[in-house]
Amino acid sequence: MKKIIFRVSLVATVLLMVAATKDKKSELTANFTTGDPGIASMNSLSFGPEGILFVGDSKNAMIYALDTKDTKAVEKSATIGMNKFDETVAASLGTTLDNIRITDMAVNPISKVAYFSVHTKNGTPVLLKLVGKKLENVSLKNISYSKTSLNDAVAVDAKDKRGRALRNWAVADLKYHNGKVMVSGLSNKEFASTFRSIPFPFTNQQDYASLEIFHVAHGRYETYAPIKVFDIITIKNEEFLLASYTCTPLVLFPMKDLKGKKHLKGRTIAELGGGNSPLDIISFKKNGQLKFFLSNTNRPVMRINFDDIANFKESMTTPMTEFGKDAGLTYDNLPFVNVIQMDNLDKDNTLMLRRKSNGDLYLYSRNKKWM
Amino acid sequence: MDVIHKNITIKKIKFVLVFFCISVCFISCKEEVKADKIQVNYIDNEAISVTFNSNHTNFLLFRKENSEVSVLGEFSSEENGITFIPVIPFTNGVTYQIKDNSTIVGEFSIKKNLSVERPKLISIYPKLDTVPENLLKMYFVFSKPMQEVNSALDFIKVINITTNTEEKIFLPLETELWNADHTELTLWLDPGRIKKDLIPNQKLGIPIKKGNSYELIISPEWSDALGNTLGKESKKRIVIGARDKHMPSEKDWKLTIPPSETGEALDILCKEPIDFMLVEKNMSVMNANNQPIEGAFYLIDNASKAIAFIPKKAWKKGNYTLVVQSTLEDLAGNNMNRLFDTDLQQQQQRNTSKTRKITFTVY
Repeated sequence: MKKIIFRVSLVATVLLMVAATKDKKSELTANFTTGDPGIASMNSLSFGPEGILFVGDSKNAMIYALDTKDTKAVEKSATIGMNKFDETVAASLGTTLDNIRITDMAVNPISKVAYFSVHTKNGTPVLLKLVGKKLENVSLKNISYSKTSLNDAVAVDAKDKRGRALRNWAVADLKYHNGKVMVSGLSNKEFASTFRSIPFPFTNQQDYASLEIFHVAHGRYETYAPIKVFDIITIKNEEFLLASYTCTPLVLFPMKDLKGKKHLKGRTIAELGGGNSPLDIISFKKNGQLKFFLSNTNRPVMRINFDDIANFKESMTTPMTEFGKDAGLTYDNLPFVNVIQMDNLDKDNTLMLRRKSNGDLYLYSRNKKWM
Repeated sequence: MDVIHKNITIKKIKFVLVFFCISVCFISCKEEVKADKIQVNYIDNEAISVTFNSNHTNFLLFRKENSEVSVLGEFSSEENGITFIPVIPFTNGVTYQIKDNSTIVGEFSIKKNLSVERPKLISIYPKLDTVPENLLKMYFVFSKPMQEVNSALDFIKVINITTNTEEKIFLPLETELWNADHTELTLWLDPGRIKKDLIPNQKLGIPIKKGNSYELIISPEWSDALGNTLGKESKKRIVIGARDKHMPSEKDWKLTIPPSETGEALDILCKEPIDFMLVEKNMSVMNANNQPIEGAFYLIDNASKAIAFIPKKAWKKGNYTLVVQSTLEDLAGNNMNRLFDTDLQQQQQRNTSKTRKITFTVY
């Protein structure tokens, strides 16, 4: 009898634990539906918690949260080294190189699996994941998802005579942080940078701020430049948005002020040299020291120490007098050029997609020790 | 001797016959594993799947040139055969092989569909030939959705005819500004170069210079989403005039009011050229009850000054309002509340009203 009671209790405990786990998960995915989210383009990818992948769709001016269900924890990724990666993508899709473009890459921090968004000539968006050395298709037709619009509430229903949304939103970057999806972008109608902070799970609430910076390369206050990439940095228990702009000031905005329709002025801490546009920003600790890494269109990967950012007290206000010159806090140029995509792979490695000097696209894991 | 020779000959014939029979059997057996009746299925000119018959059950599909990486997609078995649906439609001009391990069981090619009508470049806005030197945007409108892999700037060459040099006047953007169906492209002339005294402006100068003429040459190689190219080169010549330093103002506009019980146009004549691509979003006509009148705006002159609003239904007698959002811009990006090139360090008094209204009466 005791045995039976023990077994029943054990089963009940297990069931309760499973239910509890499910409940916990359902907090984030409770309002998800399964089906075709109707993604029209994938310009930016970023992972949130529980294997949820956020997708920025410029065509639909939407942010999608996809439940990849890819939640089997892996501590360390296998070494990755794939030459002519774009040819592998093209062959996997049964097409040729001139028919595809890899628009973004993101590594699932739980499974350490890399995901790639690909556009084809006719605009069909495809989501692929790299399992071993093979690519697998992540179906966008039958997936658990939720979504939110980037258009102003009043413009959501504004359609032109052919039923199209009136405004396009070029999503530049997005990241999940502490229950919020943050999105930077540019509208196709007005050349104005907008930054959104969207609570997740998605509701009807969106905070957006107009971020003004002192644009050193441009020698005056500048409200029009779009934030190209960004990260969050915590200095003395206060969170800041670390924003890198096209042509390329690095600016800090206090996160606590990014509320409501405020117009905020940032503090410029570096000018990383004009004639260049940042592509990706990642951070990790190396020998106990937090460091930020910035990949660029026309410059190598830059390494910026957290301490240098935290200790830079000035706000740069002096216009640059020489084109392409850098100023502000110091940084190191690393010997990685033409890094098109970059993300943290696991504790010890980053994953880079780099165009080699012979034109080949090389996907490889790089030990953080050597960065 | 002859008898022995005859026997050898008979043996040889028997051997050849046996070899022939085995070969025939082998070939026919081989034939059995081949896929037959391979049929490529099309929807809207796109090869979306392939159906074939075979008694094999274990297939992979490859691009003929790459036998290592199989094509992603799904096989399904139905009454009319086995169907493979690739993740994206098959590509024109590519040959595919259906394989069972290393055995090729079928092969098919997707022909380039030349019967499909080529895409056309319908319009380039602004339509007028003389533009201000601080022109901010140009729009390219196509008849079909265009390809989404290469940058649009790969297909647009700009020649300064005055200096006979090729120049880069447009701002390259990683995510290009296309409309949702990919038929309308917005290109910015580099704002950093347009704004006076900014470093790019000081070092490189404004993108287009007053007094110069430029020719935009649009490559015939620019293809649509199906891979069909424009096929012929297009050119647009623009002459560069003075800088536009004025904000558009509804106070300078003249309306020609249509009579009631007709579907005639409400003509709006602006003092300066405006960005017609912003009209649809920023202008509307309301009746006395503040209800929008259904209709469409048309550009009726190439100078971008005259716009017509044609209602869906005939006008009724009464009061109307032309409502204009202050975000409407002229060709230089000046909207109704601020100049595009504004020094934010100077305190300025600005009109901040979101809409401007012109009332009129139809008799």
